[in-house]
Amino acid sequence: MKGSLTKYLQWFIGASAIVMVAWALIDSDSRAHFLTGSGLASGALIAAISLGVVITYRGSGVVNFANSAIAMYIAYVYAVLRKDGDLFLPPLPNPFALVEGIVHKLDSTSTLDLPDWPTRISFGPDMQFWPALLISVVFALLLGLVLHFFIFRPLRQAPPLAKVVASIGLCLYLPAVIVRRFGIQPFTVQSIPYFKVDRPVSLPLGVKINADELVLTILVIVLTVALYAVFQLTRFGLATRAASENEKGAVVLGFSPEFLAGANWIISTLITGVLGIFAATVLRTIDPNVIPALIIPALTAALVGSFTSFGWTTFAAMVLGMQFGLVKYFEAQHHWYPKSGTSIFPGMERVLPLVIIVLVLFLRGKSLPTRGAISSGRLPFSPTPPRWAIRYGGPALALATAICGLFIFGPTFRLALANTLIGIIICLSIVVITGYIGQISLAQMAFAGISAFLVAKLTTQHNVPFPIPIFIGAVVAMLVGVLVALPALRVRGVNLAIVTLAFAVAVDKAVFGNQSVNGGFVGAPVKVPQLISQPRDVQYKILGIIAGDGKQPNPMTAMFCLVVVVILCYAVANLRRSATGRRMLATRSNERAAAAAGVNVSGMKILAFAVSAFIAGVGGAVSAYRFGGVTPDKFNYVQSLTFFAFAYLGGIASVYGSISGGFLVAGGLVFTFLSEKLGVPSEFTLILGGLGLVVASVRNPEGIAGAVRQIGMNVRRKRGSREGPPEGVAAGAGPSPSTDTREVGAAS
Amino acid sequence: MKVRSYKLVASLIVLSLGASACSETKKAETTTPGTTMTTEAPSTVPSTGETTTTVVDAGAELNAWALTYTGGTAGAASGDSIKVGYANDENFFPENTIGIESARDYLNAELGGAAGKPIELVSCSVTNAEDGAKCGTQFANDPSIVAVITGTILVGNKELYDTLTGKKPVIVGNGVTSDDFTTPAGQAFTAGSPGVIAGMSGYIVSGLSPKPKKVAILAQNNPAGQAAVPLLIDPVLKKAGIESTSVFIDDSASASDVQAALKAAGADTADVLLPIITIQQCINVYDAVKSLAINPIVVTTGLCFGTPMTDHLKEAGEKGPVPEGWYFGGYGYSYFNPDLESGMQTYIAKVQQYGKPAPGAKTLEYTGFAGPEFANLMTFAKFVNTSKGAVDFATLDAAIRGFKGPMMLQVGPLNCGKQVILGLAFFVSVCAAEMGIQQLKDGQWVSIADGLNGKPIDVTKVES
Repeated sequence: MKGSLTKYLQWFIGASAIVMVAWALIDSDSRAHFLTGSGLASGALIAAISLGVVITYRGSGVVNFANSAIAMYIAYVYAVLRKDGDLFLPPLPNPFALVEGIVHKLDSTSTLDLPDWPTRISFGPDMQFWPALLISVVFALLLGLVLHFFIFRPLRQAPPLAKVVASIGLCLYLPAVIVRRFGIQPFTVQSIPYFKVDRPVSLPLGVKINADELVLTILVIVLTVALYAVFQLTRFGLATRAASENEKGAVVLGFSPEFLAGANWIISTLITGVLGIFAATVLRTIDPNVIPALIIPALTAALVGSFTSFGWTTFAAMVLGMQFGLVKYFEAQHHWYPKSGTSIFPGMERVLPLVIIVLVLFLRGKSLPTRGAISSGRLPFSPTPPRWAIRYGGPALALATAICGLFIFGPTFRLALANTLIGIIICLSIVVITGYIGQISLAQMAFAGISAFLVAKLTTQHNVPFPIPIFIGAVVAMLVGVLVALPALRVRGVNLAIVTLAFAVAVDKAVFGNQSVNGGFVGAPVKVPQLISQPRDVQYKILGIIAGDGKQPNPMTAMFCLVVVVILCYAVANLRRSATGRRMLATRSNERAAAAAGVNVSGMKILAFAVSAFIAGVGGAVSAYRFGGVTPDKFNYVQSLTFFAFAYLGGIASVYGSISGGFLVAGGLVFTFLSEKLGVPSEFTLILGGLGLVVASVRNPEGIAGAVRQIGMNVRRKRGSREGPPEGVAAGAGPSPSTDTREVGAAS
Repeated sequence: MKVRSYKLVASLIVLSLGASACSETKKAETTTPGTTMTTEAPSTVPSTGETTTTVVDAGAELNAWALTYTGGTAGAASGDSIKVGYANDENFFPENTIGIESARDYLNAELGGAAGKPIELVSCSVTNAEDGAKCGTQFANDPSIVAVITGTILVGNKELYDTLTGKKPVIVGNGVTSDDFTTPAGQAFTAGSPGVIAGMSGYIVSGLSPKPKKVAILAQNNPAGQAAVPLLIDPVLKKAGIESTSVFIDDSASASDVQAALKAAGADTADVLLPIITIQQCINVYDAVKSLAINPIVVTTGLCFGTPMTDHLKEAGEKGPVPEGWYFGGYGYSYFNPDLESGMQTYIAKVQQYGKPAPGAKTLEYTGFAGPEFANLMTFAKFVNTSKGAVDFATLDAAIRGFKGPMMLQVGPLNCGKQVILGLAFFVSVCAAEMGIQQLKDGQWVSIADGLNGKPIDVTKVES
């Protein structure tokens, strides 16, 4: 009965979608805004990114979140070659500069000036089209090789999480390099010769499109057909398809999955690069925002095509591109369009990809296919917090932090401490959802923002006293988290990452961008109790000792954050030690085995999402009180990606890892140290964060916490080998697969 | 051993990146056979293109104007420096820094600094929300910093102002977010975005002939953009019986998206197109207008000025720095028609003399926000000169809040803290209420309603 109802619903949704598209094409007003040259061009831009995503996935099993960033980067290479004749280089570490810095530090009168690394290689004042294209294509080829050999080949047998993390690292790193080199201002892209850019071409049904937009659209369609043919008809394509469905089978048939993956990476980067260059030409200018933002609709399109069908992917991309004009037309011209106060409801065009994703997941009827890899690697080890750490280590760390915050740190580091503490809260929320239960959520800052904006409303409009709004905000975030968890019951791994990222974008644009939420000109202030108000020059007398230096920020702000962090750290540590935590880990290790052992897998996932969103909600609320107001920029989807990066870098599977992650966040203690003591500008946060993420995913998937734990184990092992094996060492000997298996048994 | 060496290498990489981050800003050039390797920092804003203006007299007359304005003494400054905090988003708006640093160098070299002492800028770049609090804390806690001037900051504004309120006198620079115009921390000696946008609405209603019937509005999809349309544009147009349709676009909207948005807003049938957007989207609007083959009257802001637009027009085969025929709202004077009385001639001569291109840029960008930022530091020097060197908080704060003008490069009198724009009293940091409209017509800049032709638009008189 339940199955047939689902089937009817699937048919109903499918039929409704067809009727809506048909109506958009038949109704003359709607058609005029749906079937347009700009819509086709927009769709072609999205398809240009999504085709690369599909090739990469088919070839190597990597859903490349960085594909749009790669397209943007190669387009910059081309644009700069054309305009200035320069091949720009990313920032490189310069050991000479270190020597120079030390000498100047020791002797301030020194005039030592050692050579700098070049930032660009100049080929002359400017460059013609063909040489620029050739160099860009060679660059794309090399980039594809580098990505394959140095990042994704070592990760071939890693779990999806590690691959997602590496691609997110690239997604953060590449735009950060561009910002460092060229700033954020638009960079003019010289047109491709042989066709005039501003001459409109008339197509059937009254569609007018610019010549270059038409060329891009045709190029995308031709490539789609060509890729379809290659993957259907050639030996290489058939081998790739075989490997993508079952690597073991492909090996048995004599194909090398490694070779196929490498070749597909090169093809993907080449196609992405060339299409990126054409896309930049259509856009006329390029900046670090526009092309990277296309990744969300591109992933949506790829999801519609199940990451395998080039035709469906391109079709979905075209529809996503064309819907923009239609939604804007409804927004501007129709009274029934949702309103928020006197203004229109913003960001609906960004909500649509989320709706499509949810519908696709529903219509599929089963979770999307995953690759049959030769072997799948383990997720980072999630150690049980030792008793000594809970009894003595935690309190000692908290006490040391309090002493630093109250008596030792100056204003800059006090501020950094508060940033770190809030970062720890967000990282803790990621530890629960990703570290404990293996679900990849890229929407943590959306949950935090929902709570933060609610706190602003509760304190200013309803006078709800501190600290009640923190709980209300966190509970509402938790309820939203439960809603987001529903798709998680049908998908996991990378597909869930896409769902949550689309959710984060939709919330960012439609909720936080909403005037009735963000307050427009007036903003969203928060009434903060004087005791914890940050901009106060105060000192306190604690046990006869003066705390604080009488300068901003108020040391009690950081103490307030510290109290919340301590409570949450203990809660999350105890969750790991509890039977529930073990059930979560069992679910993470193997859902089927966990279910067979009596674990309610769906319940565990919903619980994990709820707990995680609750913690993120607390983080948002604490941030709101700390800053005395809420602005959308703190909670946008890029922030979600960034926090995910730092949580992974710190160590995604333990409380200690989230503490390490908190140290690394923007404005946290590590970057403040780098900035204050070594002069690293704050824009290096994303460069180092992104690069660190890529390196960590390849070299050290357990992050800083895992590395520290490993060092500790090595020391104990060495001592043990001298003194003989102490009891219990084997049990704590690290990430053996049997650890999780034992936990399943315990949980059941 | 292997692990240890990895860690050593990793530590060295971080340390050297930090060090090279600084060293990259130094410019040096080495030549290798066949190719040139240039070691310079990023190009953020390449050039102003070919539309520079030659100032007739860069000599005594200009200095005389500046000395009269600042109340300073001719000659170089000497002695202990007066420190001024300066916060700006260097990634997005490096031209602010060009303006303020030129003013500093000019003041120190020729106008006796501030009360005879050299002015030193303590710079702090705000590129994320955490930076706002950090810069504010740094300034607020440093007793040697006597005042703070902001540039243009997109995030972290509230945190910056909250830390400075009541601690340091603040001159709000070229604000673009809501917090810049509603903060009690300081005052902006310009009409700001609220004044300019309301003035543009007023111009559409009463300045255009024949009176338009339909206006298409394209605004940025952010809190300020969303608030501006219903509060500063719609009421004015509605009162005049003009139909308006607005569409909001993201920063990341592509050229195709902008074209679709314009179509949705009815730009193809509208008499006037009013884009309140950043320069990236201005470029897209220019392309979309051409692609759609429509010809509405375009009224926009000075945010559409700048090198990227000039470069793009050059690529499209046009000659001017901005699209021909467009109307631009601003603070009432023109970079392209510099006059002596407003200080524009002095500014242009001195920014060309003292200004340095943004790191890595090939030529000097001095339009956009550079001018008002130059004027802000000149005005700060005026306050210090007037107070005979007193730089305590009370004196400077009172001078800032009590300043009635005239303000360099801004038309009209100032009424700090008391401006009511279209019946809205919450723009407490906006001091000026007059703005100007100029147009590029047949390759020439024409004063439509501004300080140059004595017909600036008084925003307080715009009806809504």
